[in-house]
Amino acid sequence: MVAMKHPSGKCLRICALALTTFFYIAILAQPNRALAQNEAAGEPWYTQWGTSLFTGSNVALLDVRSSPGWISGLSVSGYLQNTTGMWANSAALTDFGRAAGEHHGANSLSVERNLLQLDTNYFLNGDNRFFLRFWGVYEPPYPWEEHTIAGPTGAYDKSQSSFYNRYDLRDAFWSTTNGPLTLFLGRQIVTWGESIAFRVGDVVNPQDLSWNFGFANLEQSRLPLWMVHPFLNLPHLGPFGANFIEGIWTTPWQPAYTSVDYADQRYQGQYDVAGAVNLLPPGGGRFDTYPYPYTITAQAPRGVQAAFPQIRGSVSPSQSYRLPADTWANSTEGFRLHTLVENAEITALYWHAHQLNPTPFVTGTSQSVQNLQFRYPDLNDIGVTINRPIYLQGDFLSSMPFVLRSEAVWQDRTPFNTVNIARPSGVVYSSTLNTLVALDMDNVNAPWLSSTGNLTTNLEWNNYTILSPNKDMVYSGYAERWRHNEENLLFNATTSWWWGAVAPTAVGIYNPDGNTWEFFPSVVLTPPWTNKYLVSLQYIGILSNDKYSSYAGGVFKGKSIFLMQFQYNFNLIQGKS
Amino acid sequence: MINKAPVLVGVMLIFGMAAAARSQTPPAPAAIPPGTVINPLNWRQYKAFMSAGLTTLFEGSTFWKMPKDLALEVGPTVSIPLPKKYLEDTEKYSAQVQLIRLPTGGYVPKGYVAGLPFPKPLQGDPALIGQRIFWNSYYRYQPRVQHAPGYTYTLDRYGNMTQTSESKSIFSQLAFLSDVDFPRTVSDAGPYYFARYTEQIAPEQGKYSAVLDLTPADPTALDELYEYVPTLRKSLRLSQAARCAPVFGSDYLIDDQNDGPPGLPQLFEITYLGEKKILALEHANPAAFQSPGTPAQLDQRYYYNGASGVIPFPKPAMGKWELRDTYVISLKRLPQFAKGYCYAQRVLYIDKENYFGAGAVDLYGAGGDLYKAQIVFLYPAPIPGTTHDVAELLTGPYTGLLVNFRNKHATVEPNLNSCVNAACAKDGYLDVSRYASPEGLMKIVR
Repeated sequence: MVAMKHPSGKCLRICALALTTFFYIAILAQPNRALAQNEAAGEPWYTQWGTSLFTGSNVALLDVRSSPGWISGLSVSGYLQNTTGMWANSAALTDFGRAAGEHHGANSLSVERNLLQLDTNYFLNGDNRFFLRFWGVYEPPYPWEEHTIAGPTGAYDKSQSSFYNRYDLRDAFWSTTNGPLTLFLGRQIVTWGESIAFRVGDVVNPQDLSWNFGFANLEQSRLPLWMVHPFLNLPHLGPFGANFIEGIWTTPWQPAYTSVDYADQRYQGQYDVAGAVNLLPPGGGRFDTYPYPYTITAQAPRGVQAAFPQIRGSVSPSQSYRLPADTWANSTEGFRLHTLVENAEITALYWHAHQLNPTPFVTGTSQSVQNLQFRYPDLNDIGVTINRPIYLQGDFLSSMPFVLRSEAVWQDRTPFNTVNIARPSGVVYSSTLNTLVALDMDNVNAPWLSSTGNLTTNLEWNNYTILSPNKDMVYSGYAERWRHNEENLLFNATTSWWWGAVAPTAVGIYNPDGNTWEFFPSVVLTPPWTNKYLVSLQYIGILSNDKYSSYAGGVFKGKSIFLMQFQYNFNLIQGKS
Repeated sequence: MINKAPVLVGVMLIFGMAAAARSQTPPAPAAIPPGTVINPLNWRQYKAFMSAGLTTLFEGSTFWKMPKDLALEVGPTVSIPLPKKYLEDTEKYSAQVQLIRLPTGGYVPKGYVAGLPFPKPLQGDPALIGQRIFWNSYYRYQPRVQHAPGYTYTLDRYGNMTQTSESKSIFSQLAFLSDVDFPRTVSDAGPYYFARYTEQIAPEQGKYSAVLDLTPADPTALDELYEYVPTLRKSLRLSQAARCAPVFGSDYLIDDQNDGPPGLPQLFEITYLGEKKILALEHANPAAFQSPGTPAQLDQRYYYNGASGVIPFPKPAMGKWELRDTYVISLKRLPQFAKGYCYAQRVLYIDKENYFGAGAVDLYGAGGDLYKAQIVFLYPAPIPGTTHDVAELLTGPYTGLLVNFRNKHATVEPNLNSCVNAACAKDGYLDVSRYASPEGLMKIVR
């Protein structure tokens, strides 16, 4: 693991390089330092900049837009963000996973994440642009995790002092336009589909779920992929307008060198492709799920179903990961067609790839050693999405800004674990149908709620149907059976007061399985005198009567968190955009 | 007993005459001589040349007042004619345009191709003068594409004045064009008249967020609205049905975003109120549009500082004001559509020469109170490829001031010097698929 060596040294080198570059640009741009905004006040630029640090807005330290030559297209900005979180009930969490061998402390610190995001945009001309996003993350060792991370043998005896730290390029791409063709080349995130919370048509990028709850932090958990990503405009065709086709080809080579240093060394020797799949939390980590204590029959009390009854021995199986290898066959590809007809925006997509979440396969035979190997089988997705505003008649309804969104994705061969002992691998396949219907009300004028803001609500109903009639399918690693129709209902409402200074959001996802609720309300506070910094307060609560409910989220039961996030923006260089 | 009645009558007469003399203001002059300086002491002499919003600010009878040392210099009126090609199109096509009454009671033009639909708005059915003036303003000349960096400042009752956002706007006219070097309709642009693309550059938490507003060629249809949300990495479809919803963080409502004319004009009763000369700053100093100002104030070389109760207003360095001949029209929602609408009345002062309708706008609340007032300061930008044509742009060297009297808040939006038409080509702004189509939103941070 090359990148794991001397992380602090590497970080220092990167920081030094960044600083040198910045000062080089500063010197280069000095004669052309526009800083017109600063000069405008008749005060020295450094005085104004100092003031702007605390009370000002987003004036760039260097404005190079009017500088001659290549530098005029360079923009560098970003933010520093600290997220501090506390368990809502840390004492109760000492028992979290105890039956499976985890032994947590009662320490209340759940999150202490420090993030530096640095965006570099380079505008060469109207047809050529570059974008780089750097992420530097530092998280301290967590006492709650001390000695409770699963090691190579599956025993909970490790700690992860630097697992959550990262210092890497997140997005890095060049976009070039030539006539009707626009090509994006590099590391990118592509989001398809209509949902704001569920992954239905959003099939392209994996997620890093190791440091957060993905349901409450979809964007920041996405993992970019190296890809070739063209858009081709298509001509109007009768009533079909805004036509284009978008293609994606991702390389099998998707390296990840930070946040993959698991104590169980699951990706040993596979770091060149570790970025192609979801990064799961380390076993016993803060965002790990409630483990099922009875993996094999020999461990289970009489009458209790084991997760893998196919394993006949009495020794806990070892676990290994077989990531999609770095071969041409493991590249992924797909396309999406887009059109606009009769005020309805419609897309159709095809996606050939591998699963992003692993499925444990039982390897070996009952006569030999049996183990678990996590694999990522291939898949084909076919989907369609549609949205359109709904205009109704009548005094009241005509002013209601309804938008209907819907999407459906059929997958040909989804792997499921089974408790059927006639399946030695412990895996069966079924096609699945993932659908969503959503109704939005955008920017409702609600003077009874806010005279300076509006009200936006989203209601989403997600249905996941397993088309096979098989009744033995269980959640991976659990003995709890899949429902053939899994339902999730999301409600989101947001408003603002004092011209956006106080912006509360109420979000909840309900799943009837175990009456599971995932709440993640938040309020963002932005001072009226500046938006250079802001504070967000959030509660993430998981309530459930079923702690083995993997799909509904009951497996996080008890891990409710209070979060406070402080963000400070900076704008180092402002160029043309 | 002395009869006191004659004495009382005499006293009353004397007091009455004195009161009448006190309330008498000098007769309004027919014009304001160039070189006049208007200030908080002498402004009443020129009240006849002011919009209701400007008058209210000078009066200081509400929370918002003018700066104490305000000086407003008046210069000669300088012509801002419509572009030559636009006038040619007016001559060519205006005869075929007629107003059609809809079942709602409102009116829309039929047969419009390009240019002014009604070059002689005072001729014809007197009841429809307001409609004709409105539609002239609706279709007033705009270039094929215009781009400008824009900034938003807000000022609250406690004196917090903050540059809350920076954005870039690319506005594209897609149909009914009267531009040299461009066809009448942009091919592959769909059934749209106008596209407004605005992408946020700062603050960082909103960076890359973008809104695309497509105005259909059919004026009775609602705009189509798309928003790119960086935290979702995709665009969302929005609805514009809620015309009175505030635009996040500002005093503008969705129905104010067209800088004058509201959406769904067929739902309005439009009345012609007469002609009026009004003071306007329409030949502002171009240097004032080089930078927006400081983080907490507009450019102090050109604007008085905003403070609690004091509006940031142009200094003399910003340029000379002039008298513009305007048509004054009033827009009220038709009775069946008035319930719940944001304003009881919108008064537009529409320039008689070029039909620019955003110079001054007065917005009245349900109780007849002046709810908000908009005043803009700008200079006409030259149109590339023409000899001397100029236009007052929607996004360009233009500062919009919207004063919210009711909520004691104000929004100022300075836009800087811009590029127009061919001058925008090198930056790719003529690309319809990027800046005038939902496809463009799928190319942000991708």
